[in-house]
Parts: sequence; structure tokens; C-alpha cells
Amino acid sequence: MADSSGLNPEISLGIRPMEINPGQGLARLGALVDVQQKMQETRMKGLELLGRQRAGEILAAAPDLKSGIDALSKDPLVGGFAGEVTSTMQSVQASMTGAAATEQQMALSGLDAVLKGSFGALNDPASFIPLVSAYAETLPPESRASVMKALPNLQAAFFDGMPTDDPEAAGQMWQRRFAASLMATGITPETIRAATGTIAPQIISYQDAEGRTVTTQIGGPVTGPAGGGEIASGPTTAEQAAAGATGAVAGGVESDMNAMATGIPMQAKAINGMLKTMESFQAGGGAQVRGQIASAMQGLKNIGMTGITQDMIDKVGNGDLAAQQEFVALSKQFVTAQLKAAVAGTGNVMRPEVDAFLESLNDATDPEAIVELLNQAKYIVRLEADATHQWLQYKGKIAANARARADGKEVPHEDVDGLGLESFPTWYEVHRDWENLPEYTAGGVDLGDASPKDVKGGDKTKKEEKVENLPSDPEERKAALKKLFGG
Amino acid sequence: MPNLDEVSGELQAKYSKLSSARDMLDAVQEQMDGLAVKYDTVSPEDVVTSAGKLVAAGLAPEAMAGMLADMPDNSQALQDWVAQHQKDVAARSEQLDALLGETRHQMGVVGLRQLMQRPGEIAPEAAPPQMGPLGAAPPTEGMM
Repeated sequence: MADSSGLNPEISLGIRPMEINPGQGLARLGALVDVQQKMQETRMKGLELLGRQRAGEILAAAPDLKSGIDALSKDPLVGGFAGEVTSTMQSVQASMTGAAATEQQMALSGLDAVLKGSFGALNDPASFIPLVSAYAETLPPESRASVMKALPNLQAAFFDGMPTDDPEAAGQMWQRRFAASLMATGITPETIRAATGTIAPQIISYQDAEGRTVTTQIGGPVTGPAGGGEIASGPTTAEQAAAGATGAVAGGVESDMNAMATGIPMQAKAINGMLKTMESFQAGGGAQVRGQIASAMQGLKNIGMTGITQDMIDKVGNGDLAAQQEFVALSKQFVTAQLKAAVAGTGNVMRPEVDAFLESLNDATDPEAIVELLNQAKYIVRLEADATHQWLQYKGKIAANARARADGKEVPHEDVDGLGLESFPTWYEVHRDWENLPEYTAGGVDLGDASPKDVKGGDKTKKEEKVENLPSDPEERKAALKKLFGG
Repeated sequence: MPNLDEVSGELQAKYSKLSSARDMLDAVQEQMDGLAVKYDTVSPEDVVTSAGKLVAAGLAPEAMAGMLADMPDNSQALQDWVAQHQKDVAARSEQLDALLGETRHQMGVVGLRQLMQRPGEIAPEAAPPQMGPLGAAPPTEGMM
């Protein structure tokens, strides 16, 4: 029924009366607040962006990071964000420092390899590159590349022109050259002392950046912190890890092989010197021969043969038979001592051969027999040289296998698969090639036997070209000489 | 500024030439010394024999023949002639040693810089102008 307004309330018109909800007003208010907060955040972000831009300008203009951060905290626009910016910058700085430290460590590892190779090469300069190359194998690829690139320069700079028969003088010359190059490169004397450890104190003179002559001491104990960073001494980290994995036996083998490598050139030279002298004895007693003997004795005295005095050299040179016999006796002692030292340094690797040699030497009385025995001694040195050569290859194979295994690849050298450094003596016994022992050391020292022809004073004179009746006229003479010389 | 590898290459080429010259001068000096110890018994034949060995060792035949063209026949004069050449060779040898020493030192400096070079780095750090591109002078030998 329609009411007084004419509308029938029974019929729905879809119009609902407004419901009163107490929370609705607050929700709308909340939405407004939210909008306001977002606007505020946007404004803050804008300010922060401005602040970061300003911070960047301040840092870019600052002479160093610390001054920049100080300036940041004082700037009203940036002050509020200074903490966050500072923290970010410090993180970046820490990363950069870490990277720099890694790079420095890589460079120092390279220097360490060069130092190790240098010490081994003092007796045999030409072995510098093979030795450093072997050490470089244990370095990261980046360091290894730097080392290999620098090697020809360092070889020429530190070892060319060195005396080969006087290790002491060679050592001093190396120290002088090495120190001079390091200082010119900008490394301080303290670093050199840290790097070279116990070298004898000595004075060197060089020109500084202004051209002034500066005299300074190098060597002696380290007196303070190293200026260019600490130089690692002893085995590298990789070498330590390898030694740790394979145990003390492996370390012992490594030590033996290094001792052997260092001693080989000196032993070879000593024996060659002895052979030269013995050949002279065989050849007769003329003045020229006596002079050669005296000269050879002088050389042996220089390389450390004890018991040879200047007086004895003079007497031999003057044909004193007693002095010659005394020298023969001393020679035997010297070779014995050399080989005993070799045995002491190389553990059991070479002992049977050396023992047999020493037993024979005690029975020898005449120079010709001694020549034969010296050839046997040289054969022992050849075995040592072969062992050290094989040792480097053995280590390289083990390292290559380890790298391949880490990369999930097949190992390239099955003959050493599963073996450690400590297994080298056994491996070498099995793989030694008796027919192809080296004839020379890495530095070119002769390891071959003396020729019997030389011992018996064979015909060493060479046919010399001669021209007789030279024309007196300069032009004719010139023409004749050109013809003679094939020009 | 040339990079470190270029400097290294130049130095190695220079050193190689200087070393060859050193070998040749050593050979000449050896022959001269052998002639000098004969004093006034030295003969033109001795000189020619020595010269032949030097030519065989690589000395230019024309240069050698030119040098011997003014060789005197008189023994005393020949002795003086040999002594004069010996002196010349010694002087050149000294100059060459100085050059070799300097080059060796520069190679040492470059080698150490190569050793310290950061991966990817090419150009060497600029050296102070007083030092030249390769650093300070080598030490004075014999100061020990």
C-alpha cells in the first residue's frame, strides 16, 4: 500500500539507508595519512638523492678518503646520510685494499721465486731460468706470467758476466746488482734485508733521483719493518700445502733434491778441474805443462779446495816433484770431501754409487787410475743431474694431475697418478734412462768423461794458417791478406 | 711513453748486440795478448795467423785486411804496433764494459718492474724526470 508520500514501502527501489560504521572515518583518514607518508618518503628520497650527489662531489674534490668523510659529516645537506655513505665508502675501500694486498702478494710471490732461483743459480748462473721456472710452476697463473716475462731481463741483469769459478765473488756481485735494481725500482734497503735475510752487511753506492751519490748499507739483520711489504721466505703456500699433504718424507725428498741441484755444478767443476790437472801430469814435465798445472791448482784453490797454498802452487810451477805428489794426495781428499758432502745432502738417493767410488779411490795411487776414478765420480754427478731434471718433471706432472682433477678432467700423467712427492726415489729408480744421462748441467758444465786421448797427451796442436813473403807494398799486402782471409 | 714490454724488447736487442761485441773484443784481446808476450820476436806471420783466427771467429775480412795494411815489418816497430793496438782494444773494452753494465742494470730494473706489474697493467709508472725512464744509475762497482 502506498503511504502518504505515494511510495509503496513494500516495493524495493534498491535504495538502502546509510549505515553508520564507526571505523570507516578512521580508514579514510588512514588512507590520507598513507598518501602523506608516501609523499614524505618521496621527498626524503629526493633529498637523499641530492645528498648522495652532493656527497659524491665532496668526495671527488677531497684530497683523500678521510678528509672527504670529515667534510661529509659537516655538510648540512649530506650530514644525515653521512653514516650510510661513509659505511659504503669504507666497504669499497676495504675491497680495494684487499685487491691491492692480493696483487702485492702476487708480486711478492714472483719476487720470492726469483730470489729462490737466484740462490740456486749462484754456482751455475745458466741454471737461473730453469730454477725460477720450476718455482714459478707453484704460483698462480697471473704471477707465473709476470715471472716468465721478466726472466730474460733478470737473467742478463743479475748473472751475465759473473765469475764462474768463484762462488763467493759471484754472490757478492749478485747482491750488488740485485740491490741496485731493487732500489732503482723503488724498493727500500729494509725490504732488501727482509728479502735477502742473512746477507753480510756491506756498503754500496748509487745515484738517487736527484742524481746525488748515496752510500748506504745493505745486508745484516733486519732492523725494522720492511718498507715494501714482507717478502715471504721458505716454501710458498702451495708448496707448504703440498708438503703437508704428503708428509715430512716428501719435504725431505724435496730438500735432498734441492741440495743436489745446488751442489752439482760445483762438483762437476771440481772434478773437471782435477781431470785437467791429471791430464797435465800424464803429458809430461815441460815448463808449459807445469804452468798449466799451477794454473789449474790456482783455479781449484779459488773454488774452495783446502790445503793448496800459494807456496805450493809456486813450487809446482817450478817443477818441484814433492809438491806435485802432495797435490795429488790433496786432490783425492778434495774429491772425497766433495762426494761425502753430496751424500750428506742427498740422503740415500746416491749412497751406493758414492760408496763404491770412495772405496776404489782409497786404493788408487797413480794419476792414470785417478783419472779413471774421476770419470766415475763424474758419472755419479751425471746421475745426480739426471735425477734433479727428472724431479722437476715429476713435480710438474703431479701438479698438472692435481689441476686436472680439480677441474674434473682426466689426469694427463698416469705414470705418477696416485703418487706423492715422497714416492720420487722409487719412481726414479723405475724410470731412470741409463742410456740418456745428461752430458752437461743446465748451465753448460761438462759432465762427459775425459777422453783417453787427452789423458795420454794426444796431438792437440791445430794446423795454423800461415802466409809467407808478404808483399811490402801496402795495397798489394792488403789484397793478399783479403785473399787469404777470403774477403 | 713506451710500455714496459717495448722497453724490455729494446733493451734485450741492445744487450744482444753489445754481448756480441763483447765476445768479439774478447777474441781480439786474446790474440793481441798472445802477440804482445812475444815482445820483439813477434813477426808479421804471427800477426797474420792471429788475424786469420779472428776472421774465422767472425770479424769482417775487409776490416782486418785494412788494419793489417799498415803493419810494419821491422820487429821493434811491429812490437810497438801490436802494443798500440792492444791499448786501443783495452780502451774500447773499458767503454763497452760500462755500456754493458748500464744496460744490464736497466734490464734488472725493467725485469723487477715486470715482476711487480699488476695483471692487465701495461704502461709503467712515470719516473721522475731526473731518473730517466728506467730509474737511477747502477751502483759503482768496487765500492764494497
